[in-house]
Amino acid sequence: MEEVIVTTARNLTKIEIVTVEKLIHQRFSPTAALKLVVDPAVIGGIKLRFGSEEIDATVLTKLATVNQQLLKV
Amino acid sequence: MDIQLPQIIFQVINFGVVMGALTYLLYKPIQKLMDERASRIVEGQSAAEAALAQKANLDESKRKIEREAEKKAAILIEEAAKKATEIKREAVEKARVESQAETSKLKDQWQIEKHQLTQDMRQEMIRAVMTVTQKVIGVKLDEKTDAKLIGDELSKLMK
Repeated sequence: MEEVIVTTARNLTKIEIVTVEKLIHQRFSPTAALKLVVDPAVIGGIKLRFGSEEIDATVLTKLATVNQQLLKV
Repeated sequence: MDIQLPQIIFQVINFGVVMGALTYLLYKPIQKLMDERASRIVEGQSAAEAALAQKANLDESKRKIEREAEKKAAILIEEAAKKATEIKREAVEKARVESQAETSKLKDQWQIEKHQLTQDMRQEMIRAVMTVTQKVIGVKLDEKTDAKLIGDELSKLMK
């Protein structure tokens, strides 16, 4: 069965879960199931992984990106 | 005083015989010796003149050789002086070029080190700022803010 791993820094509310499900069914697969993972290390935001595809909107990744950009200057 | 002709003839003949004998036995050898002596003197003079001429030639040759040696020595000294000047100039030029190269190298090295140090300091500062930012955000990112953040991201993805 297809599975989408959803990583956040805290537990999502029901409303948020519904919204995420809606997005996943719309964007990835109508039959995909959710696997919620809580990882405080991501600080905030949300990360979705569906197979090899990944949407990373966590604060940790954004900070890392900014960090890399600054280091290149 | 009476003149006796036979006596006179005898005396004449006697004188002639004595003259002939003297001429043959004494005068000619003496003459020959004198000629030989004169000849030796002439030869000696000729040899002396030849020796003097040879000495003069040798002196002239010696003076010529000395003049040539002096000329060659002067040329050699001049060439040596020129060469020494050239070597000195080349050494000075080489030292100048090496000095410039060394200065330039040190300058470049200093610039590289300065740039590297600046970069290191900048990156260290960025890391420190990022670390502090992560700490502050990690502490202060409350549920409400995070919810808004997630909502915004989901809204973006839905579009």
